[in-house]
Amino acid sequence: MKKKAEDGAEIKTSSDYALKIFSLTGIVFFLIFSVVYLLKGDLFAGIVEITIAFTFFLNLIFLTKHKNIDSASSFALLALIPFYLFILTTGGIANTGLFWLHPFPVAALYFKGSKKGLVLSIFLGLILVVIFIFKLLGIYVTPFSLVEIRQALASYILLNIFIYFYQKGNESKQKLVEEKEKEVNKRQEELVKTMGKGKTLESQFEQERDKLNLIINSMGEGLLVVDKDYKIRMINHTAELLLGVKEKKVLGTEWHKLANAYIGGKEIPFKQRVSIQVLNKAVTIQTVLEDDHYYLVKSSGRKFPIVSVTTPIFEDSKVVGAVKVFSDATQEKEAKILIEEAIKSKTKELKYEQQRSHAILENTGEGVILTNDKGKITYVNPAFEKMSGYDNDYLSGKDFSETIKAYDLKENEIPPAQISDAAAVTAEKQEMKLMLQKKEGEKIGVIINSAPVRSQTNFIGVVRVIHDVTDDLQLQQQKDDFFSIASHELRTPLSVITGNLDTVLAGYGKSQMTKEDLALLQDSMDASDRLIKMVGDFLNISRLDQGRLNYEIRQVDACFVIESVVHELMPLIENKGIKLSYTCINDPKHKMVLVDENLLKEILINLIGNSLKFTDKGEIKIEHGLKDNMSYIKVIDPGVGIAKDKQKLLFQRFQQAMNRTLAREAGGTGLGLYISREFARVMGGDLVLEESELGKGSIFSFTLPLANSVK
Amino acid sequence: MTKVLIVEDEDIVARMYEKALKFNNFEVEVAIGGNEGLEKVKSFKPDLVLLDIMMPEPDGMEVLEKIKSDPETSGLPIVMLTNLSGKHDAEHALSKGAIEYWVKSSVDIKDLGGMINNIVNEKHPENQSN
Repeated sequence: MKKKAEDGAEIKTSSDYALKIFSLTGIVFFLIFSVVYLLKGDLFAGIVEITIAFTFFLNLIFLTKHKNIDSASSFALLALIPFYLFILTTGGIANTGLFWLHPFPVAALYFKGSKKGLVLSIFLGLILVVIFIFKLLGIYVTPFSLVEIRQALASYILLNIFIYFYQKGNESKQKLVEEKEKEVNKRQEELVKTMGKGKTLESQFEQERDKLNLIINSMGEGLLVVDKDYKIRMINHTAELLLGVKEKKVLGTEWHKLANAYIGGKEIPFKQRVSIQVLNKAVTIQTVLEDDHYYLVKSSGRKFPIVSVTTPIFEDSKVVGAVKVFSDATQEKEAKILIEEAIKSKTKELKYEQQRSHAILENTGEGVILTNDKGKITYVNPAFEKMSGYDNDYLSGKDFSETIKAYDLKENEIPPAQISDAAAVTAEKQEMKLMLQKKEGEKIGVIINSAPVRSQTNFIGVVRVIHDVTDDLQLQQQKDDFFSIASHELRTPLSVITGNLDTVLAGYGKSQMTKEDLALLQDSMDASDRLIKMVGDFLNISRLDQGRLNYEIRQVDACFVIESVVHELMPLIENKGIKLSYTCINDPKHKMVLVDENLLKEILINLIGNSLKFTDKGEIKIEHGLKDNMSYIKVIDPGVGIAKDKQKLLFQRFQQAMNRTLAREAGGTGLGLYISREFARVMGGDLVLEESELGKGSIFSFTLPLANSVK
Repeated sequence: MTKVLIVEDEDIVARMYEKALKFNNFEVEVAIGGNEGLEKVKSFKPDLVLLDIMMPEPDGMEVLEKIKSDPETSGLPIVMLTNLSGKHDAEHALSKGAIEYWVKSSVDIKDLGGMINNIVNEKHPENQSN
């Protein structure tokens, strides 16, 4: 029992098995006992036996799950101490003969080499001894008989002896293994020591030479070594193949007898042969593809281009020979010829291509300007010369944006930076519609497409293609003029009709007219009003479609505009007997908006007018506030409202005009809301139907940009 | 009675304004076109001129400039009454000396007399009794 166990030692697999079998035996054993007691009707003993079986079971679980002897030991200690105290104090299970089995699980832990197991084992032994002595001396009388206690002691001692020898056996096995290991290591070391010894210098040298030969013979280039008498001393496999000879036959033969050398088609005289020069001058000579260096093999008559390097071999600073490395350059030569031909034809193609491009540039109707990487003009085609009045010679070397003045379509000068090469490079692809000033001072309308030109990734300049749109712009202007004249022409007769009817209805010449006459005139008056409104709507739609709506965004006092519209509509409102309320936005700082005053009025007249049309009693409310950093105006009416399925038709352009089932805007073109929304959008806001319910009224709202954004 | 000269190239439009104003007790004279307008400014000696802009030569702007450059007529209140609704046109006319700029489509013919009276009375408070 001197075996030292390490705390927390891992369970070793070898003894693991024994332990598991041991625990299992305990479980089976005590379960049988408990069954026997229970059958006998001894409930108490039965429960005790089950408890012991359970202890074994827990032990087994701990040993397999935790794989750590200390945890298992701690548990065993906790589980067994109260159990022992129970037995010793009550003696309730006398004559069961089980006492001697109790140390088993604890011993099992010790068995595994735990310090705690050892402590527990000694503790149990002491208890047994104390009980035994107490019994002998009669100090403390347990219900156990002396025989039983003796049995327990004996079994305890026997068990520990068994464990002791088991451990010892384990130890000696361990020792044996360690010794074997040592022996093997020693042998290995010796083996290592023996290696490296016993090799002669000669064999090492042979090895090196073999290695060198292997390298030389597997080279792709031919290799020749000649001595100072020009005799071949070494030839590799490639050289044998190239020259069509065998090593054995040519060793000792003079090199120039194997092959003649040519340069530029002429045979090289012996004294000028490269190898001779190397031997005489002690320099390295290299021949390249361009040298046109050829070998003519005498035996076969084969001639082939070569490239070579020939280097002198020194011994005590004297030239004793030369090494020549050479290769058949037939393929390279052919490739070179092919490349040269390709370059020739490519050059021709390129020239052709250039001429073609030039012809295109010279003859196209579009102006073309090329600049270099410094932003200077390198080429201007005749079309641009004609367009601008400047010629190529004048513009060459100048900066495009600095030389030619540009204006926007409203004839404001454009800063040169905006049309510079730098701008073109930044934009990558730029299309601008602008006016250029001709040399004579006149302005032409153009569309300039500019793009940077790159060769591989190098920026080499900017190309500008200039399309003359002066005629288009003039046509546009004519269209605009036609529009304003047409609208004038349409409005004038209409306004005369309404104006005169108005005057008549106001009482001019009234005396001769009956009530019926006046009613007819009133109908005509209403019809004319509608016609004027429709013409206005159609003109607005056309302007919106063609982007020719005239408007000017300015700082406008929204409160003032709303109040003036309300004031204008007041007679109508009062006539219908309804109310209208409006309060200017709470914070006067936010009443300034960026809008076109006329468009804003149109929107208000449309929204309030609609509400008025569809409200018979109650109050129309105009609320004025802020929403998402915008001025926010709501028109709320308690009128007839709009059915859900009709709401989505409200802002559709022609849907409404055709769909008469939609009562809203009856009598108009049905375009009013569409136009109002477009107007709001043109000014940077929007217009929506917030909500509406049949019979309960509608809420329309629109937003406008604030002059001073809310922080 | 307040004397109003209407300078307008379209006779039907001129007549419309003429009748409406006469009905409202104005003394009205119509000039068809700019040249006639310039003549009648001197012969009729109106208290106020309603001047159209879009007319054949000379157009309303030229007529305005001529009236304003003649010392005899330069003090005459001139109201531009036109179909041109651009802000630019309005500013231009006001800078040349027009006293008001009215767009035809936004002037209700019923209100025209009152609007003219406002101007004339402001200019000549002694006429208020009219």
